[in-house]
Amino acid sequence: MSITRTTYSGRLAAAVLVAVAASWACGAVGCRKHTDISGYEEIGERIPETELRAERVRTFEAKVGELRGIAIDADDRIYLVGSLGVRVLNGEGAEVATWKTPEDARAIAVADDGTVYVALTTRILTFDRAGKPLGAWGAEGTRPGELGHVTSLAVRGSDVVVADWGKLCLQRFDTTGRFINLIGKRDRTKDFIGILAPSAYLDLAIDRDGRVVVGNPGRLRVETYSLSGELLGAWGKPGYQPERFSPCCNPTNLALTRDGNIVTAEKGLPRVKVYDPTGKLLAYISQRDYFPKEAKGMDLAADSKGRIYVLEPFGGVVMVFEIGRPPG
Amino acid sequence: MRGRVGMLAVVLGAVVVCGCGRQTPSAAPDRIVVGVCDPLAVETASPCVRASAKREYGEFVSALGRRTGLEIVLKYCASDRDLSEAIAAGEVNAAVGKTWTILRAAKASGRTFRRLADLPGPGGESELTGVFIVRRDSPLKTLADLDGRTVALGPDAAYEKSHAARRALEAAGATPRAVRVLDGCVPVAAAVFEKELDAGVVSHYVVDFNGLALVSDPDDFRVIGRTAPIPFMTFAVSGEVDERHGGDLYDALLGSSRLKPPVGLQTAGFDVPTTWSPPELEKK
Repeated sequence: MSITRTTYSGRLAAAVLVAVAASWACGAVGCRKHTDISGYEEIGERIPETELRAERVRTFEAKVGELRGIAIDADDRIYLVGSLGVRVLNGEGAEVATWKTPEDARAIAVADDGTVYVALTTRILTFDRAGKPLGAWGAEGTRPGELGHVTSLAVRGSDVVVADWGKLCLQRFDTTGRFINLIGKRDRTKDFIGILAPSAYLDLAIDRDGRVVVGNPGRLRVETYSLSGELLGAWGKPGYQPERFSPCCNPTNLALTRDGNIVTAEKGLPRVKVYDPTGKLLAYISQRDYFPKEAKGMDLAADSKGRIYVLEPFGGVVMVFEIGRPPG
Repeated sequence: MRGRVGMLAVVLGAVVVCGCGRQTPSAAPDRIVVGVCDPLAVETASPCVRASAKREYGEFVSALGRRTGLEIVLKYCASDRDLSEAIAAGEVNAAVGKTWTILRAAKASGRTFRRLADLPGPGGESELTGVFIVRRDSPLKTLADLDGRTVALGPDAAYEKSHAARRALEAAGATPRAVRVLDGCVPVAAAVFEKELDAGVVSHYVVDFNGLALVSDPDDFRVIGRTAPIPFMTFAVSGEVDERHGGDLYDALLGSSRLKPPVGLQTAGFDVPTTWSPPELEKK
């Protein structure tokens, strides 16, 4: 049955009357009930109707050992990194380069000039597109600028921002490895908790305006910082509902599309979602349809055509999704 | 020692994780698949106490298989939710986890699980409580002070942080103005620290094992009350498990062929289950 404006108004008035009456009755008889302000629902996966629809168009084997990260460059070349090193594919999926790293690589990013940044646990390596080593920087340590346990990195212009799970913050460097500042670090003097990541999942991206977008898993939200470290905003709520982040703790991975939307991945209830920059859910890729329950650490990337690439480490594959409006 | 001890024990070396149905031998009358979700175990630790969680189940399950002659598979479940789903799906016919988690999941899915033995925590504790925390600089001193305030409770799946916590507030005569259900110690501690909420409830082991340090210095929080205790961890088997096999397991845990727990289990031994009949299980 459709609701007309008149019946809607009538129902609204009735609801207000009921609420007032209930409030009066509770006051009269001493009935006091707290209000649940969380909206928390303990539910299984519910696949929502969304503005955009995701369709899987391709799945291919990654072939880099234990899968860790993915990046896509300006020419839509796909860079995969894992325990066996780096593998580069062209847009058609043909392998164009592979190279090894001296130890397990954790993450990968590609600068606009084509320089490839590969993060080891406490060191950053740079390569050209063919895998020729260009340099290395970073050292293990507890002081600012030293690395604890890197899980991700992003490059824009002269800035390299490293997600350091070991130190629960982001660290900003220039492209030569010179430390600039911390981002999202706890500051008790300001009652600022900062980034909370109970397990080794901490991912970030830098948008075209130079803002750092980071998944804060312990806070179950996405946060935006300036490069100098100022918290600019945050959105996201805990919960199993489609638009929320399932506890605890998510999102584990994050990427930006070229048009500024934010793609997130979760563990526990493995699912991938696309949000607009304000946190409005646009598309939903369900666990039920695509991912094994054991999937976690699903790194993400987007190409120039808006396709989303999802690493699925449990199966060792990459899934490619096209995002578009549903027919009609 | 029982004659059966001499039998060839068939113990699968595989350790699987919940939801891994395509790789997991299904639970069957002659095969025990033990779903394990222990907040203090390495593989299934609660986020807040991950650094302190050292419990290991592999050696214990192997020893249990050898002692009983049963084929026993260990199936780690990353969360209470995963264990509940494994119980509901019939993927496991035995479980080690929070007593409420197991009983609730069994009831919800129409299955029967009976507790064979309770598993004390590493400190010997057999009870689980919810702990009400506030900021150190909060004026709130007791649970009664939470009347008209805002409080973070846990989901129904976490008894000590939901049902027991509501009961504790009621007993103290406190009706919070608003309640926010938050799942997990990290969001609760963060909401309290940032003054989004006046108080929150976490499991006792989060406080005992310094778990609040993940969010801020533990000194930044103060405890103002606790819930009534409930049984903590238990070993339970489903009604589908052959009574003879259930008896073998009982004997290995508590009876005549009692097993000395391996060091990794961090306990001196199992206890006889305490009686507990939460009214919520009686509800439809």
